[in-house]
Amino acid sequence: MARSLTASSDAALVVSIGRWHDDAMAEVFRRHGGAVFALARRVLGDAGRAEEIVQEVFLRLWNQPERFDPERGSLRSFLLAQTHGRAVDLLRSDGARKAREGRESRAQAEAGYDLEHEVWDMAVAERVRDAVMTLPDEERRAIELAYFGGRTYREVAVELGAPEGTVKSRIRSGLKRMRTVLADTMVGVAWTE
Amino acid sequence: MRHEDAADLLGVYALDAVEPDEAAAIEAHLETCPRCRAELRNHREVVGVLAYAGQEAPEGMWDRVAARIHDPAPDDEPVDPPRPLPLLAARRRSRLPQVGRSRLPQVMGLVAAAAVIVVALLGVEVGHLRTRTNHLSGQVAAMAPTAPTMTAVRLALATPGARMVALKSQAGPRVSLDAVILPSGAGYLYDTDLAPLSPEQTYQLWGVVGNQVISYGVLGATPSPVMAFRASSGVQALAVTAEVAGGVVSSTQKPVVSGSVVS
Repeated sequence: MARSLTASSDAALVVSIGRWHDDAMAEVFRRHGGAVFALARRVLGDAGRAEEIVQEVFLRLWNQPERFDPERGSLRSFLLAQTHGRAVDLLRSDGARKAREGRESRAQAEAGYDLEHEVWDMAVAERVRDAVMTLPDEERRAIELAYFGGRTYREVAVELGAPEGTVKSRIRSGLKRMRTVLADTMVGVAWTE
Repeated sequence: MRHEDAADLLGVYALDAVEPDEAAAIEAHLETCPRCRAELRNHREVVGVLAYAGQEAPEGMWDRVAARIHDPAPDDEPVDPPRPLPLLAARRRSRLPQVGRSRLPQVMGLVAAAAVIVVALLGVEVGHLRTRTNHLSGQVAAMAPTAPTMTAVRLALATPGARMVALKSQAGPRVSLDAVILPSGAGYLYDTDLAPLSPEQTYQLWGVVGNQVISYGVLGATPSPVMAFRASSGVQALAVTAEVAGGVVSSTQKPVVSGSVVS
């Protein structure tokens, strides 16, 4: 692949996709395909359905790159937000959730179920993991259930036996705390262009 | 929805953990509230980091995505704007790229200078492609005033394989300038105390590769706190000279600051 592409910013690659340059699309996939797939699989607990989401998300980027607005965040967060939304839509159909919960309980028994194991294999992973560990348990658990569990905050409140307002504020303050910690350890810049 | 109510829900909204009616109300509020848009953006970026599992997509997945791009299923979303002419589509099909397996750090693409890219991207396109492209170019252009930043520098410094350069004055007033160069060649100048020049002058950055001295661009009369540049492969040293405004093809000036590239 051309050196210029591997050195291009995400925003520039999306512009190239706007010109139907599929080598730019390949580079975007190389950078973010793994993350998109990992998130979809984590939420759905099923590699096959996760790949369907991957295909939908990247096909949509190919057809409608103008939907990505760099002013609203990085390409990665855009792709992951789309991925998560679609995965949650799928999950919130009863059958999918039931099937997933079966797999999830088995997975927990085998390997645990925690955020920090999700972010272990990149240059910044150690700092991200440390940042996750700085969260109070109740914040971390609420984020985990809502994001990876695909639950609404009301469902999280029931599951944790906490008032809905408390869950809302725990998640909001947890995300803010993470951002502060990540910024302090220089990892936060990963989301700036 | 009142601002306070929407703000309370931003964290859970970023996690897709709200009911559909709440999501609609938040989205309506976001249209009119830049503060909430900014907070949501921050939340989403944190979530993006959490979601990352540090792994590449499984082998073969790109091939399947690429196949679907070029031969969409009947129920795929309609393309807007229309797909390109058949001839172009056929050409694209003939050169489907492979996704490499190398573990280039994900951060690479995040630190290139948007301002430079805009210049390269404002080419000529026709018909709907022009509309599509110019819209995107405009979005990138809108980012330019905010890039590059010290956060990009900090990330670059934390990137494996990054090389540092401490540029110092060899004579005259003691001034210095630091640089970091990523393996991709993207580089940043920062921590500068170069004095402003007159409007008729500009600082110019040079790279030394073997016995060649290559211009890396002009930096202006008053250097910004952080400036992006693109280093050539094998660069061994950097130097900054003061030149006439607009810069020169080759310099006869002594460097204001210079320094060797350190791995």
